[in-house]
Amino acid sequence: MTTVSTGSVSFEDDLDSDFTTTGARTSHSQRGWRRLVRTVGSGILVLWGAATVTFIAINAMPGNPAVAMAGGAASHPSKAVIAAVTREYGFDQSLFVQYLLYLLRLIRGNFGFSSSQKMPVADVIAESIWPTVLLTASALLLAWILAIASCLLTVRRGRFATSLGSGLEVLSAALPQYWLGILLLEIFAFSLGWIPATGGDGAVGLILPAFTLAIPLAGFMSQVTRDEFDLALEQPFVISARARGMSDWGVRLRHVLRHAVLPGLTLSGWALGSLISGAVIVETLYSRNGLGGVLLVGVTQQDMPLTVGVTLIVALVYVVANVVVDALYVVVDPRLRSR
Amino acid sequence: MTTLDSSAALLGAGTSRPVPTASAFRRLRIGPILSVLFLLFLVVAVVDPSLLAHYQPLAVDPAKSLEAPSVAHLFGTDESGRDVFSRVVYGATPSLSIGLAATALGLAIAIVLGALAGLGGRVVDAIIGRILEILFAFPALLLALLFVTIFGASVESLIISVGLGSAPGYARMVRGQILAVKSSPYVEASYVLGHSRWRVLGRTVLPNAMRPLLVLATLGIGQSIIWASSLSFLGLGAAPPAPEWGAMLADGREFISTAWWVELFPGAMIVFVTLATTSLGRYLQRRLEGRGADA
Amino acid sequence: MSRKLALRRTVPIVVVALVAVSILSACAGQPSSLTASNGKPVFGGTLTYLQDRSETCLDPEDGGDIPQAMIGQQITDDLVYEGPGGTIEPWLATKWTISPDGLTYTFTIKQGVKFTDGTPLNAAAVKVNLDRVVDPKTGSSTDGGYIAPFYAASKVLEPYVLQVNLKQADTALLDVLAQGYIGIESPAGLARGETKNCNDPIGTGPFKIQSYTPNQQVVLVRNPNYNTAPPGSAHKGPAYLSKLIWKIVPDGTVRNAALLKKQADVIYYPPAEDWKSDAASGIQILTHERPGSPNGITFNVQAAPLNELAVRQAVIYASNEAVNLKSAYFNTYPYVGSPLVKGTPDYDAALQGAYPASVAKANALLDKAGWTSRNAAGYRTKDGRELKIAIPYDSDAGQTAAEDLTLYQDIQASEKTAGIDIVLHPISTTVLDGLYESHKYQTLAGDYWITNTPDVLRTLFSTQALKFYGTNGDDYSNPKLDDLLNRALSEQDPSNRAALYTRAQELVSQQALQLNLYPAEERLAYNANVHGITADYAVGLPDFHDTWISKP
Repeated sequence: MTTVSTGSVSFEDDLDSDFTTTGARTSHSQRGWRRLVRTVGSGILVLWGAATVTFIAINAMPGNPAVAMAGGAASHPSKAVIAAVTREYGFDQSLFVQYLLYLLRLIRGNFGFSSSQKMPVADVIAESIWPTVLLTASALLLAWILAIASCLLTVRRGRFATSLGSGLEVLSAALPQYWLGILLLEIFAFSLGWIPATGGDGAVGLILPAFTLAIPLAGFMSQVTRDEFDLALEQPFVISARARGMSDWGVRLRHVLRHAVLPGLTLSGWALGSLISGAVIVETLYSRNGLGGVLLVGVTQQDMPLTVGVTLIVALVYVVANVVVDALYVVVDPRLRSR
Repeated sequence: MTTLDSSAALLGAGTSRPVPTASAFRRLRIGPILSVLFLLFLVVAVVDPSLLAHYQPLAVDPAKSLEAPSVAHLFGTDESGRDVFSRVVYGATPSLSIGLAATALGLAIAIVLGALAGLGGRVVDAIIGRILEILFAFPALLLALLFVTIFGASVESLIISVGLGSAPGYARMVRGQILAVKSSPYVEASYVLGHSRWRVLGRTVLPNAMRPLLVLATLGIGQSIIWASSLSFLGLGAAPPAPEWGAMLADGREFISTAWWVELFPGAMIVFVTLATTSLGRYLQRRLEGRGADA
Repeated sequence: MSRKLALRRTVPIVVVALVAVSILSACAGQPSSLTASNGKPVFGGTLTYLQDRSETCLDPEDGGDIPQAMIGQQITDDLVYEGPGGTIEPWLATKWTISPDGLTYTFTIKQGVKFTDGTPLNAAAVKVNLDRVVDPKTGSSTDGGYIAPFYAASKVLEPYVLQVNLKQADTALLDVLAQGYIGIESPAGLARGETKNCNDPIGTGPFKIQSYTPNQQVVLVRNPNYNTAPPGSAHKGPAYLSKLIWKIVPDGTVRNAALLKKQADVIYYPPAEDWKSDAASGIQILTHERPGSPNGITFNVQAAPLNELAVRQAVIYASNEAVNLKSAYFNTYPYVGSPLVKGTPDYDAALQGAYPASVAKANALLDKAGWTSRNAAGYRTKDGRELKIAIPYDSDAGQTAAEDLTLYQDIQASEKTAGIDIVLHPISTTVLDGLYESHKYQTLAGDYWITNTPDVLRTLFSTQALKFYGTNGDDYSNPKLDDLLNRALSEQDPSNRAALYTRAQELVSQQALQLNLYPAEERLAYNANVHGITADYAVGLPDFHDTWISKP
């Protein structure tokens, strides 16, 4: 069954329609670019939606929203501070005016002041976003390497290898990150001492957190890739390539892999967004600096501007990641390139 | 968190494509049997934990704290001298219920949104598409944290946020199913037979489109449990001394070097539940598609 | 922004004497002296120290949480120094006079001292600091009830002479000024505003801040011009260490593993369950019992059912706290059953065993008080109400030690044997702060007060504290106790004063205002090649001025 894409936002639907019947439909580069433009457009829409959702969230806070934005009742904001916040956010005006003010502030990059960190939210984010981006990007890359390696080595390599591969994938995907992280820490840092217990600095410090995030994700990626890999191995072009005398590795690397990574690639967009969720746990576990840890502080200290700021930045990362994935798609998918 | 969204996305990528390989069945056959056995064990643990566990989950015995696994204490004892095996068994109910409730809520939201999108015409479909896209931009854990900031940490907050977080993935699936069923030959046949639009919808489209949801639910439960336990682990879930698995893991973390069993076994339970439900779900999914292809 | 609830972990008030450092018998480590040193100290080297909790502001006057004071101790000096035995000695103030009525203090400030930003230290600079600490906007938790109620104003008489005028005599003033919580900071630094000063407070201390990554680490470097080492220092002049890396590592297991693998030199609070294996690996543990009120569970006497004396007493009898403490903390803490910790002056040792564990006594008390029927779960009820007591605690693992959580659960199980239902409520720091402010709780867990005067009883249980200081978490008010404590405060004769404090302690103990557990302790673990680790006499803060590292 083929899902009919109705021009909606769903990139999976797009994927399905592009992909399901391999070679059944002709696509041109134009289509790829149009798709990219559409992704950018819907990305802007998503950001607007996310801003709206957070605006609703602020107004859903019990009590005076001005007090909430000034750090919550427990931080005893002075009357002057509350008045300043009220003026800034327009809490004394109609909801509509508040909403416009809110959007205007966000467009200008003004996320407010973090009461728990005692500095502007934008500065907190600027300080902590790179470690998180670095962590999630490394984890994503690592997940891909693990997933592809698993598929290349185990798909249709005999019953034992195949079962081992798919079994490991399902197991990896079932591992809770926090538990995996604790086990990795105990084994590699506490017992073997290969990695500093506090994580260490630079690249070494990235190893355990990146693996903790990557292993469950690799399980998912490689399950998707495996099905596709399996499917592609039966395609006519594989048979003809083999008939031309191409080696098994050559077929797998040059023909099959390219087809097999496509669905996984589409998953990469949301994966980067949701890896940031995982970063909350991993950064807490490994005491790493980053957005996730900052967000948790924001939540436990009811620092609303910080929580909202981080949420919006994550939405932005999600949107950007999807645009990047779409661009990559044009590069990888032979059917989306002009001949 | 990653895993939750991904299971839905995985399904999104998987169900709409034919899965022809018979080998897939064979390699998963032992899996489903073990899965069913393990799930049966859990059912007993939920219905009557005293059949499996010989100690009370809350019975402390400071004199026996942190004893290694033995015949008397299969999984050892924790820092208060409680039997870890008994706590794991009694913990099935609180640990599973949040995951189940959240999955149910997620599916309910998804059915409404997905059905509207699939049946409501282009405009409704486009609007719901945007809403889903916006929801996708809030990774599930972030959504939960936002919820906790606003409404405070509670079981209800957990269920609602986990449910909301998983809904867009399911909704997209439901929509796809409805579109597929709507254009299938037997629906057309129904119209040809002169059945009314509503009758076709109610008797043919919806039931056929909902069938894969059972599979979906099976696949989603494990992830929802991981999820809820993550929040417990962050201190935003069940209160001690309740034997909830995530909370037990948070407790046991301190003892990983000195008493590994306190940390290992509750975590292993979460992994096994997820493995069992996933493996069963995948098996059902393949079976269903095999039959669906015949239809 | 102040962290009022900082007192759960902090707010040392009037600290007078030294408490001996001891290694508990459970730990096979060697006893270490306050200034342990083998061989000749060497200059240079970097020390990595792992702290359990982060501070949102490095300035100890802004708020006043323990981690802030620990940093503050390295970067600032105090006006006066508290030596062994509680003697007050000169530090940044070279001498002082006190008027006969006790209302006027005249300090002579040391000359030739510069803050690390180059600003000179003088009387005007000290005045800026004192005025600031009593300003409510500063949010210093140390001023509350201890400086602000007494402080009138200070006046610069000469460039290096400062007069401090009090509204009311306060014999504790010098003790308070000796605490790391009121280190003297650069006025130019303070003028930069709260945000900047929080990230980089500037003092005259042995170290200065090089960089600060919130929630991650503070890098401190030696102040090469340091010339104001306090009398108790083993050496004068700049610190031995050239750099101090102060990392935040909330997880005790990780801290301990890092120490074992020599990735850290000193760690704060090694987990109790690791002490045995640490000792076997040659790790030294320094413990410093802090005087004052012990760590325990505070009862709100206004909240039912704890408004009944019989219930409060029964809860203590049924808790089996001494045994539970031993098990939860692997026998690393001494049990404290009295309202005051052993080292506190006028401590009444007789109250240590005031409530021996006895379920029978608890049952008798509850039966007599009418809690006679039981519900299906086996808990006592009266007039259809269950005998249920909630213990809220901070869900942040950095705030509530894992061992404490074990202890609470063990106590919970013990209370059940007497039919008392204890409910544990994990809640976030902010919610807990709010709860504390509103006094809408039955109990407070992990409450303690570090100080070395029995006047802590007034801080915790007096009507004055309830009405004005906000430090009476019990909501207790008893004119008889107020009278005893006020008379003790003005009683000049030591033996008469001791008698008054004994009666006050007896009353507090008899009223069962809290379930006492163990003393607050400074606990550091360090590798054998680290020497000269000291804890300051006033509040028990680590001091790295004399610390040096020998070649392994």
